[in-house]
Amino acid sequence: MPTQLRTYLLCLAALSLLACQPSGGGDAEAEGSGDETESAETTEGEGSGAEGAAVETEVEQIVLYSGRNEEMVGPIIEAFENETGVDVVVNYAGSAELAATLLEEGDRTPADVFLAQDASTLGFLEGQGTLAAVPEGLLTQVDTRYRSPAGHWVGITGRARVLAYNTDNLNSSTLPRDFRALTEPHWRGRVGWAPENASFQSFVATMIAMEGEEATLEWLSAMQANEPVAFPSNTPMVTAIGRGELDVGLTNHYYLYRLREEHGADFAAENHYFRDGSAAAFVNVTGAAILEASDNREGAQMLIGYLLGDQAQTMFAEANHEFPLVNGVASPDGLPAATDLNVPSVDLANIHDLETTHRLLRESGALQ
Amino acid sequence: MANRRDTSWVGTLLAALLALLCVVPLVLLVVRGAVDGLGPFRTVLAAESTGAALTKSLLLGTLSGVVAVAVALPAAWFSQVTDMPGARVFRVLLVLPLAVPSYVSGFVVMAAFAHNGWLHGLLRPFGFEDAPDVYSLWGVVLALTWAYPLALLQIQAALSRTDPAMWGAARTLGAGPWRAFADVVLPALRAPMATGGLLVGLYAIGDFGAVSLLRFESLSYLVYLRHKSLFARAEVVPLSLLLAVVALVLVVIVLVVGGRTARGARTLDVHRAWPTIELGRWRWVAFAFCATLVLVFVGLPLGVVGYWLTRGLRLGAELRMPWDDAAHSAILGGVSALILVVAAIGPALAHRFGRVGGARALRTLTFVGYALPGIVVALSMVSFVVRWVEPLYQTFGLLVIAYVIRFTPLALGTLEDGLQRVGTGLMDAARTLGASRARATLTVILPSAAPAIGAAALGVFIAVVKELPAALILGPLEYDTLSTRIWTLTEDAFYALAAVPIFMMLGVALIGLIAGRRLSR
Repeated sequence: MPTQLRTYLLCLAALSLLACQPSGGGDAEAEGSGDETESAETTEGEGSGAEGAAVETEVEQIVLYSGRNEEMVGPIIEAFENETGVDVVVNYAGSAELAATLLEEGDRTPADVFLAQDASTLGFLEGQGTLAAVPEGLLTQVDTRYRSPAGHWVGITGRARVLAYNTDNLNSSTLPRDFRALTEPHWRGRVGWAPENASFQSFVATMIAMEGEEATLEWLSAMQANEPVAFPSNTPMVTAIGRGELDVGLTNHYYLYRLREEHGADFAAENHYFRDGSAAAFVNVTGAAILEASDNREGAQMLIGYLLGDQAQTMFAEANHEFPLVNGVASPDGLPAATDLNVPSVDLANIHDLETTHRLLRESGALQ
Repeated sequence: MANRRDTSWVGTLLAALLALLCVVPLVLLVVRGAVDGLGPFRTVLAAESTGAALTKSLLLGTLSGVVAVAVALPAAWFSQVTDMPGARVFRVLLVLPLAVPSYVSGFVVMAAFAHNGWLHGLLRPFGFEDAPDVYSLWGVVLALTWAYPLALLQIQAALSRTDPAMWGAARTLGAGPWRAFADVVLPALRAPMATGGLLVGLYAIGDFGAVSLLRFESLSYLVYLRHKSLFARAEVVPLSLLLAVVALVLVVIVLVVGGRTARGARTLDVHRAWPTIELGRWRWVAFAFCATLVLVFVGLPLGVVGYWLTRGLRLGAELRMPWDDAAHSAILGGVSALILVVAAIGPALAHRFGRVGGARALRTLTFVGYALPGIVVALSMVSFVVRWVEPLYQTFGLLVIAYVIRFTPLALGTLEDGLQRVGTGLMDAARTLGASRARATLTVILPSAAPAIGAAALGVFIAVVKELPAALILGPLEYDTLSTRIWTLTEDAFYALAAVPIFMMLGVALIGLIAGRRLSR
């Protein structure tokens, strides 16, 4: 009985998938979709070759969970679709939110690829056994710094931590020496941060990896006592800085460029790179991973391969002002070279301890 | 009168089914809470932020409701029954702010009233260095006052049901206009004022647009943050239950305040028009009041969003027409409205022309889905569906089910209100002439109830088009609507691009409102 029920539910699932898939549905039906997708990873064509139809790939659709937003990722996905003819279905949301969703969905997830806006979320999922191995050929395209040593995720682009500041109220001589100075009374109520944000949590995780729990908790508590302004995410924080509602904020480098594009050149904010090898000078990644539960490994690899290709890397750099991670692709205009940022020596792979991060953020009162 | 009607079993059954569906999210929440155990509850109750958030939600709900009613009562009176200049135009314009969702009005409050905002720019030459802090209770209440038409519509509907003869009698007996208003009109409006305040209060405590833009840590904001968090998701359930308790408290307050005196008012079985009340020189005061409302609640959003658009165009933004999103919104709104009207017409008819067993209890139950914040309804369903009914996950059908749960009282309330205008005598006459109950309903009652059906469908349509959390959380992948598009674009500071879907949403609502007026005339 239970097996019958399961089969029934599976059939329903397959049917509903077909129903939601307007393009190419006809072909899939003709070939019997259920078997077809499963065979994709195992076979090199013994069964399906008999049909003699498709060229190299049988991939028809890839489901991507994207922690980067549609305006930034969408054009690249579209270029991929045009080039390959594969349909990419994207679920856009926050990185942490999608990670929680992936855990909740478990092996029932429709996702094939997860594109996260930070390394620690990927490291955390890797630890949970949610991610599958990324093939060596893809991994080695980026520097060892920017990929998982265990091989379950690979960095696509880099994003530097900065202190954004209002240019009407501050100049380079009145900026803090380092991020630790933000706990001084002088900065009371003038600093913005986004404790809920995955990139911020990656920064804290970096600090834990570099300086230990105790020192990190101490800094967080001192910050919290200095009455920082907590934002739910980075965009409103940098907006507030440009409007002069706030003097400085701990954030990523590229929000400034988006806001300048929107508000015009007189948007009164600028980025300050600490370049001091501290956790606040750390460069995070937008990284990609393949879901263990995905039965469409071939498609997943195709997509990640494309994101690491020259065209996508250039688009990321030009449209989104992120640092390309693949060797040989230049940094966008107006950005310092990624090699010029004096980043901390800690390995990205060592900053996966989000659970401790979360606990410390709570203990300090930064996370309510 | 009651014993002349026989209990309608079909009507009772339909009403019971609908009520049952509306309770589902609450049941799911309680079950999930029980399954998760006490751990998350302990964490939530031990956290300092919980108590503060609880207080903030209670304050927000009560204040928003009170402010909205304070705005809506004079607006309804002036535009409905007085000789205020432009009263007829105002009747439409004053409802229009309803089309501005909280995730837009929050931006409007920031642009207009925050530090370095428009108002601050005007006042700074006069020595005002600091603008008042909008990232506070008053800022959020202001942003949620855009929902005052929810109260306005209740009061307008009640006014047109109230017998104007009472007013006439009071005036003839020598009462001044203020006295007559206080003694005769106000008691009749007490119940709709309470209901209207409740609707706004519930909207306020469930909001996660304005509260997150203005960083006001109410319970719904915490629920939203916890849902987005990787580790604290389990706390969504206890926080949601707490939010449900706040909703219950608001309902109880309203029952206590508004319930009793409603009886004193005479409700008409037959609709009778009000005479036009002459305000004398006060008509210009009334005009100034209503014009200010329109200026602030319609003009400001148009100004802010228009500014986004022109600034973007000047800077070379490439605009896109989000036709797909608009079509998705329209289809979702249309399908939900159709299903809800069909589902609610049976119980509504039974309520008017027959007798529904346990009507009061069923009525109250249908309110559960509406009283629960949209984000709570969506989250309660998503984890259940992922686990147990996976084929429904991320489907159009699930989203429509959520809308039925959320908006049943909207359809039911409007239909029942509208059917009040269809005299029971009509049914009796048709039956006396030999028509069966079904035939009488089909050929006589339903046609004369067309305005009510149209109004109910429109109400649901606009509510669905505006709705955000369910569309965001439950919707199919790549099924963006106007609301989710506006939210994601503004979240990432693509304001110029967001302007187009915002104008589309306002346009849809305006067309809907004008069509609604035509229908109900």
